[in-house]
Amino acid sequence: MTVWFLIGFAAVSALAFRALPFAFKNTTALTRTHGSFYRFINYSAQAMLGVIIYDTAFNKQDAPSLMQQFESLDALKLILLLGTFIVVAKTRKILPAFLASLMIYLTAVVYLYGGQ
Amino acid sequence: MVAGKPPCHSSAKVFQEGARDAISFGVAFLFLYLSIGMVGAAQSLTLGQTLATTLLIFSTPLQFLLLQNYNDGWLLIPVILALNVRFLLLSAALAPYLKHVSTSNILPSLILITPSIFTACMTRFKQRTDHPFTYMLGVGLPIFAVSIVCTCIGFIAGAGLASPVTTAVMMMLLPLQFTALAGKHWPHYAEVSSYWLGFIGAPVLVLFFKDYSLLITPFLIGGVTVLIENAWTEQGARSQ
Repeated sequence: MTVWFLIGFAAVSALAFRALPFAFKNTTALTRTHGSFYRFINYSAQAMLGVIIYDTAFNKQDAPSLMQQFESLDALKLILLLGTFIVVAKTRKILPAFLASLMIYLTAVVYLYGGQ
Repeated sequence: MVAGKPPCHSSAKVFQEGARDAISFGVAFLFLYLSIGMVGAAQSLTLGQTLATTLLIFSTPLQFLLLQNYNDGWLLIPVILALNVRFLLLSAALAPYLKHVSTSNILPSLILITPSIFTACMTRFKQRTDHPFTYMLGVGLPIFAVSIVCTCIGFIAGAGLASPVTTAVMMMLLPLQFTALAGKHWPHYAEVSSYWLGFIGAPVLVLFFKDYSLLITPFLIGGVTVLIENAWTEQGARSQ
C-alpha cells in the first residue's frame, strides 16, 4: 500500500466527515443548539479531544500500566496541562500559558536527556 | 445564545478580528507544523507527500500518525476513520451558525475545520454571531497558510534537527494546545467537564473498549453529560 493511498484515504474521509453535517444543517436536531442532540454532539466533540490528548501525552497507556510506569516526567505533564488550563481559564489568553508550559517542559526534557 | 446586544461590524472588520484571534489560537501551529515537516523528512517521505498531508488533511494527530506509521498500511484504516470522526462532531456543532452559507462557499473552506479554529469560532459565536463565516475564514486562513509554510520549512530543516529532546517536546505540543483551547471554554462547565472526563476516562475505559475506545468513550461521556445536565435543569425548574 502506498503512502499516497493512505494520504488520499485520510483526505477523502476527513472531507466527508467535515461535509456530512452541512447536508443536515437545516434539520431541527442541529438548529436547536439548546436541544439534547446538539449538546450531545458538542460534549462528545470535547470528550474526543480529551481522549486524543491523553493518548498523545501518555502514549495510550491504560490506567494500570500508567500507574506502574509512572515517572517524574508524567507528573510534570499532568501539572503543566492542569496549570495551562487554569491560567487560560483565568486570563482568557492562550499564548502566555502555552509558551510558558512549553518552555518549562523543554527545560525539563533537556535536563533529563542531558542535551542530546 | 447571543449575550446582550453586541455591536454589528462590517464583514472586513470581522475578518480582521478573526485574523487577530488567529495569533493566539494558532500559535501552536508554528511548532506543530515545523514538527510535521521534520517528521516527514526523518521518515524519508518526499516534500510533496509531507505537504499533501497538510494541504489535504490538515489534522495534526492524523498527520503525525500517518507520517510516523505509514508502513503499517491497512492497519491504519480504522484508526484514520476513528480520528476523523471528530470532524463530524466539530462540523455538526458549527453547522447551525453557518447554515446560511452557500454550499459552493462552504465546501472549499471545510479544510479549515480543526479543533483550534472550532474553539475560536465557538468562543466567538457564544457572544456574537455577526458574519460567522467571515470570522471562520479570518481565523482559519492565516493559520492554514502558516501551517503550509511551516511544513515546508520543517521539511527543509529536516531530520538533522530530530533528537530525543525534539521528539519528547513534539509529543506535548498538541496536548498543551488542546488543553489551552479547553480553558477558553470556561465557564461553560458541561463542555469543560466533557473534555476532562475524556482525558481521565481514556486510560480507564480503554480497558473495557480496547481498540474501539476512541470511538465509544467520547459518545459515552457526551451522553452521560447531557443526561446529568438535563436532570439538573429539571431539578432546578422543580425547585423554583
